[in-house]
Amino acid sequence: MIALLLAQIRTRWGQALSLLVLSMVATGAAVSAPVFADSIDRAAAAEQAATASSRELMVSIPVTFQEWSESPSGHLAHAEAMSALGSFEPVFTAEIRVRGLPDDPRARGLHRLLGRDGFCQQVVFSAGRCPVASREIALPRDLATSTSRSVGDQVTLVPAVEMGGEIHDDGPPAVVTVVGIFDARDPDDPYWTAALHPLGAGAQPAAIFTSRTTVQTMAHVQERFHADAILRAEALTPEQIPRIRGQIADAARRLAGTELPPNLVTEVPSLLDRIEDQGGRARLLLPVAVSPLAGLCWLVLFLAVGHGVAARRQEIGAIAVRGVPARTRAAVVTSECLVPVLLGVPLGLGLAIGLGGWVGPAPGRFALPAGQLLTPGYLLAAGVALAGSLVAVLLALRRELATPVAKLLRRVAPRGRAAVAGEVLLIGAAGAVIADLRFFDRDLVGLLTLAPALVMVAAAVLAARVARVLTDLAGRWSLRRGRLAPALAARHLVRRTGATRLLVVLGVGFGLLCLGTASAEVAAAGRAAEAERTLGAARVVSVAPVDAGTLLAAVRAADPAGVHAMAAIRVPRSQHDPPRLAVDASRLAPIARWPEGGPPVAEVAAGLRPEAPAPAVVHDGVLVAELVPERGAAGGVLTVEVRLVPVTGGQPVTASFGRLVGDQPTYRAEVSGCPEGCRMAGLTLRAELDEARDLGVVLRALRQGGEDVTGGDLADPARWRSPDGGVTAFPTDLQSRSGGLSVTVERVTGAAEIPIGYVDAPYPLPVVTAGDPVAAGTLRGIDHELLEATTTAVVPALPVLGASGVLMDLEYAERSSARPGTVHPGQVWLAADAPAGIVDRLRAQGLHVTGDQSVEDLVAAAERTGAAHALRFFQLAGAAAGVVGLLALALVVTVDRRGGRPGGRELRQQGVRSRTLTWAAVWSYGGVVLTAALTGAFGAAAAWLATGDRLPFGLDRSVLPRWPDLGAVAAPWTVAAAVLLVAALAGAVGQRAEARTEGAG
Amino acid sequence: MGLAVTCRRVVHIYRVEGADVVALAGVDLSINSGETVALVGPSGSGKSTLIALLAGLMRPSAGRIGVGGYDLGKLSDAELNRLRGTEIGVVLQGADRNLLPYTSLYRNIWLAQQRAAGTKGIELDDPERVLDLVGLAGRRRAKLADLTAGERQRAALAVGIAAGPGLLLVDEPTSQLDTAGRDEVLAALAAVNAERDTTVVVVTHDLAVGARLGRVVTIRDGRVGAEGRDGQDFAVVAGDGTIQLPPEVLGDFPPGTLLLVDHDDGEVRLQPGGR
Repeated sequence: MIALLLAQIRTRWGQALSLLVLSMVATGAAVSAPVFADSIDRAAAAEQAATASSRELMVSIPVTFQEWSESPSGHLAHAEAMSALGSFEPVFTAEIRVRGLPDDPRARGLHRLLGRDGFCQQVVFSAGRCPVASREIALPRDLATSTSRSVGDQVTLVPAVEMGGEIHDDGPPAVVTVVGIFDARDPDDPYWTAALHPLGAGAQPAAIFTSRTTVQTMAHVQERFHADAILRAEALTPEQIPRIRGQIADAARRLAGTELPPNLVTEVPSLLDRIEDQGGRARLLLPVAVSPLAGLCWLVLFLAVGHGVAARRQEIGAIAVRGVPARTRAAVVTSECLVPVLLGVPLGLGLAIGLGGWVGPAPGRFALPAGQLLTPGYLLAAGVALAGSLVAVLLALRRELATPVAKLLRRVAPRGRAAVAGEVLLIGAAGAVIADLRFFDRDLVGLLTLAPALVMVAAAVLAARVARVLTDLAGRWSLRRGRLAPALAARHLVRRTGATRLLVVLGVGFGLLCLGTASAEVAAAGRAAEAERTLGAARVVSVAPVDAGTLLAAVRAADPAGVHAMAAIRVPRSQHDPPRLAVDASRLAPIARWPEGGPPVAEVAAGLRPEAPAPAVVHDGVLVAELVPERGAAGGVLTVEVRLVPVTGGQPVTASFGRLVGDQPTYRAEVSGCPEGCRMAGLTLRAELDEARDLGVVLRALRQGGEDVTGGDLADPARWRSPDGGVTAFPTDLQSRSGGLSVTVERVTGAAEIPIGYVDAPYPLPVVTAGDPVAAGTLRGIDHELLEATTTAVVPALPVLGASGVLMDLEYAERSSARPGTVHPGQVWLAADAPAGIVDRLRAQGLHVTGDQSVEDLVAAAERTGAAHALRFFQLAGAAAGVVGLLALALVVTVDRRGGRPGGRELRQQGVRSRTLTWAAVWSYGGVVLTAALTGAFGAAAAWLATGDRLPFGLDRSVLPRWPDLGAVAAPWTVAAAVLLVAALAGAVGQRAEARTEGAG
Repeated sequence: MGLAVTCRRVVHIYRVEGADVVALAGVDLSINSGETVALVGPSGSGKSTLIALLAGLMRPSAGRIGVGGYDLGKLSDAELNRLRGTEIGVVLQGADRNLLPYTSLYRNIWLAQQRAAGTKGIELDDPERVLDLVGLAGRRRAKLADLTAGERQRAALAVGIAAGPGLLLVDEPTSQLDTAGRDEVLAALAAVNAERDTTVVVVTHDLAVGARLGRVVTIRDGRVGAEGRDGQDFAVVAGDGTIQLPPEVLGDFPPGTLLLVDHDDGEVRLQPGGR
């Protein structure tokens, strides 16, 4: 029997190879789902681990305060709780406060002495070594520099505590030796960025490091104990997530049974949630891609086996007529199909596993561990694929296995009617799925993931039916005009059931190719749009905290033309306030990547920057004011100051006119710190009163060098703004009276400070909002103080902020600020065509660049996410569908060549030339390919129309275009059509030799 | 040991595109064990249908067919299948239809012996011996494509007799063969008959082939129309008493002619009359 099988396969090796490849692709497609799901999960875990904050990688027991004892407890409770965290790296730290190190300005006399586990492995010693013995310490390099200590120095440290602002000794002095000076190996490692901040952060200075033994042997009273557990990125794998959750829960349970604070401090669960959520969303696309490809493979297997077995009905009849036992007949008939299918399964398994590693976001990095090559999930998927393939093969063979001998011996196979019923059922099911999706607004989950495939197949079937009618008409038309070759081709296609099936198979293949490409193209456009929205511009340079004036001046100086760089400050969302973005709106249009929808960017920018009153500018020198105190201010209780903000940015300066006395009309203030000019931000009235009284002052003139600094607007109350927004509690009235600006403040008491703003910006401040409108009196400016705002436009989305936030002009926001000079981390948005040296120019203007990110960077990062990975799989599925289509065509051509096209021999005998038959074959196969290309595109368009806006791309739908770029989709479609057309022509021409042989015979 | 064949009033009706076509209209035929019989007749007369019925490939619409001790009409499909694998050898028209082209003659014969090999009491010839019997000794490794037309037909015969059947049914074994090829095939058939006493029924258009066999039965319009023995043609009286006139006689009596049948002293005379 084996010899027979080998002989069969040797003779029909092409068919066997095709079946093997089809089985391999079907298995590969099915197994790819769990393989890519794992890979996507790994990508999600890696991405989230890389961007996680240190708090999200740590589990800590709240700091405990305890009294030192010479016989230590060993912190058994801490150890017991932490021992549950097997996937984490435990780090215990004993901390006491000491004095004795030369003062560090931030230390205020006290330093932290830490006995922290494993710190020597986390550092590089620039001098000396690790402190291992008792009474040895090591210093971070910054601390060693600021305290002028070096290796070998001896320091006397005294345990101390701070109580009521005073430092008290907490133990006897101890002499320690500096044995090492170090730098952190990786300052961003969670070991250093934990809440403890042992390297110092903000106002907290770096700590002194020593061994736990030293801490234990220094007599002291108060000690803090930190128990942290660090989750390393390499331990954060999808398989470990349930275990990590279990460990945290276990640790929490153990902690609850101790006298320690009952709650663990950790954000690891939220990180795990994000990983699972991101992976889960990305995985949703897999069944959408797998189901049509696996289904297509099974369909082609069914057709290929059916086509092949129909061509060897005579052989099967020859076996059956000998009365061979049923099992022998079944073995001879099925084995040459089943063996390649079985062999294809392990190959498909290997293919899927290989592809999973190769197409991963970072090849190699996400390759599966050797121990996980054959997980139960993969084997189950392979089993499903095998079962599907076997069912397809056996269904195709069922007729020839069960048909009586006499029927087998007839040359023509009977036609089945079940196919028509199946097609009607399929089209009905597709209609039902579309109705369910559209009318009930469902997502593509569960069985609905089959919707795109179902719609595509139904469309291909429907189109094939229509094509059949049209082909029949075209054939009759050709026949009437005496064009025999196309007429024969049309007749062949219309009469042969297999031709319609091939048309459907190729149509679905083309459809899947188009759908995969369209999905990838739309998702790529979406990722780019999301990157642009996230970043706001083609490139964004981050700068160290800076005030708005300095940032504006520096950017404008670096880019005087105003088309390459734009200053921006982002104020994040807080509990009660929406996120705010302040930009140099005069440059918004040429530089920002403005989201689609809503009014044009130029219109928005114009709305943010209406005409504003000119600022009052003064320079270094004497500023002269005519001031008349009124009401209770005459007794020298009121001081008037001018608040000035340098026009080139920086902190405000103040010029004081001193106390007002009743008989002095003119006052002088010395202005300094304004060499390039200062914008007058306003006046400040100060008083210190024991009892409440009303104060008044009339400002009649404000001159520098004999010129009115307000340009004649001094007495205009509209140019002044009373303190509102809760800055002061004293009711203030501003009027034009007595030849100047009259300011009256009621019920002033205590040490009062009344700021009066000078208006040199539109007020209320014009803003553009996205999402919920800003309620009156609730908006805070970039200085976090309340201000009045007016909404000039509401847009669906704002750059950076997305669908919710407030956009304002940075310059006007600064001028409207009650506290000018507030510093923020700044940004400089750069246009795509910004010159190469623009960042250097920004540095030359004094900005400290801390980061540089482009849209391309973000897109590249997005390409590494699980969602992008899933889309690559979809593309692969499309390409595989093209290969399957090619196989289907090759099978048909091969079987036709071997068995002879039905009717070909008769036509030759009736005198039809072989050349005509060849042309008929060209028309036939070529016609199938071209028709399938069109029906496939139609099917893909139908599937996209019905389900495209529900495909799970892992992106905000607002950034996704509704339709893909047709050019991008057409390119692979054209290539596939060309390849298949060439194959079809080659197959047709190859049959010519057959026809000639027959003709010669 | 050859099997005897009896057909009694065998009728077979095809249904083609909704219409009934009578292929056999009451065939009565008896073939003795070990006889060699040629079934001749014009195309469409029912020869191949009769041989298919004898092979158990189809069931008669009416009548009875007996092969050896079996009433074929009463056997199940499985029993018919077993019978074809052991006691009835079938050689289909067109040698290629009998052979698997991708494997050797040896393997073809081996496959045809599978049913008999699993049946108790049957001793099978070695495939080499079977090939020797049809004059293809030494061609065990040959495949279909390696053989001449005559060799292919003999190879088909070899497959047909592989299981050592008592009845060998052969459909058009000499069509498309030259004289030499035809003689080789006929020699092979004669050898099978002589050596195994196998009953051989051959469907042929070639009267010369019929002449080389022991008995020639003419099938005409679905009935046994005549029989030739020892160089003489005889009309055959059917079970219902009807008799078919030879074509040359029928030319004198157009359809509808009234005949007087005069029987006198063992002689029968037909006289037209009643016009």
